[in-house]
Amino acid sequence: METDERALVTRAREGDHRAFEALVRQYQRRVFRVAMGMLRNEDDALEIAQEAFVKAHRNLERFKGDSSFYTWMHRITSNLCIDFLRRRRGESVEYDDGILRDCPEGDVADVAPTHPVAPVQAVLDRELGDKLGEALGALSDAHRQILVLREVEGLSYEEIAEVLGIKKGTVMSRLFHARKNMQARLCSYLSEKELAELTGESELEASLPGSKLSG
Amino acid sequence: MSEQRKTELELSAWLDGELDGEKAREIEALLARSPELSEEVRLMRASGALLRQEVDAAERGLDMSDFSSRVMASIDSAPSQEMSKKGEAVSSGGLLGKIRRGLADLLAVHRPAVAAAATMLLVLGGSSFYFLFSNQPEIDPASPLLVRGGSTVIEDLSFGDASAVVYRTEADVTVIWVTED
Repeated sequence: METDERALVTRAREGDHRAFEALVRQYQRRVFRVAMGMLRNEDDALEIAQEAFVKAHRNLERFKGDSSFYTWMHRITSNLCIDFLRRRRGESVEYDDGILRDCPEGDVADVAPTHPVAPVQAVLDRELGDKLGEALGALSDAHRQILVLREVEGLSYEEIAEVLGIKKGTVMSRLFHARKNMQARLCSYLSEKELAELTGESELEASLPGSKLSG
Repeated sequence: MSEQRKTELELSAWLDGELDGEKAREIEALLARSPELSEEVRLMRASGALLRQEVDAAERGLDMSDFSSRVMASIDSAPSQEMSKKGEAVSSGGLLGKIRRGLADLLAVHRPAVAAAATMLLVLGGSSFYFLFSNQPEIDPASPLLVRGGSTVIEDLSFGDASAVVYRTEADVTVIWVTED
């Protein structure tokens, strides 16, 4: 954990509100991104992001600093998102602090898929947004969660394992199944043109391992 | 696990930059001679890019300038909400119901001390109870006299059938003690 972050966490635990507010400012966008990726609704994502910080503040005593603060925040946020999605589907959600919960090990491809959620029309081309919404909506919560942590937040397998409390090998397997499920739906939706745009080499070569092919 | 499944798993890990050295080179060689696997990689990238694009676009248009203030306001108001919930659970029509309004005013005055505290306890005993706000886990909520010792009375209020006294101890613990008259 960075020294500054550690100092802020220590001060926040001692009741320093300004220190906690500094942590909020530091991570608010990342927390929002996780919630947005999971919920695909800006208002819901903001609400969950706020709730995540309030919950973190309430449980600061339980944060031992073994992981970084943002890893801890990811855990709280993604668990709150799963609770939110369950409530939206009318499933009962048992009271849980949303922090220390473990995710099931192993492949979760057979977990009941979520219902499609409303896409954010203003954000993407409507048709493409619909396709993404359908594909994401068909994923289980656990698959959506891991996909967001990897694709949106760019966490490493080790970081994802820490956030979800699972083994690194399980991260690899779960992520693979999540992608396969997305792939199965998107390949019938996406035109060749859209695929080419989405995988534009100029943008991706710089950031993905595919660049190693030419290196 | 079948060979094909193993390869696909590794393909996914390679895409994430999680394979190094020889294993990565093996996958790259495989991709160079397999159009099917290359197509699979394209689709994996497409789904990630689509998700990322959506979140990026939402974030770009988002004004979070007052977000931290809203979070802190929500944290500040949390103890009184918590108290209200616990009060409801204890007795919605009894003592707590009568004095909830008065307590809300009391909390508004003492919010800085209360909000900074990590722990809030509601302790019942006979016709009185107290709320304890503390960052001191060693304080024994079952020993109110311990809490009262060395404390300063900073508010002494009466409303309806009950009275409330606010104490601040030397250990910076805030106690709101409520008694039915």
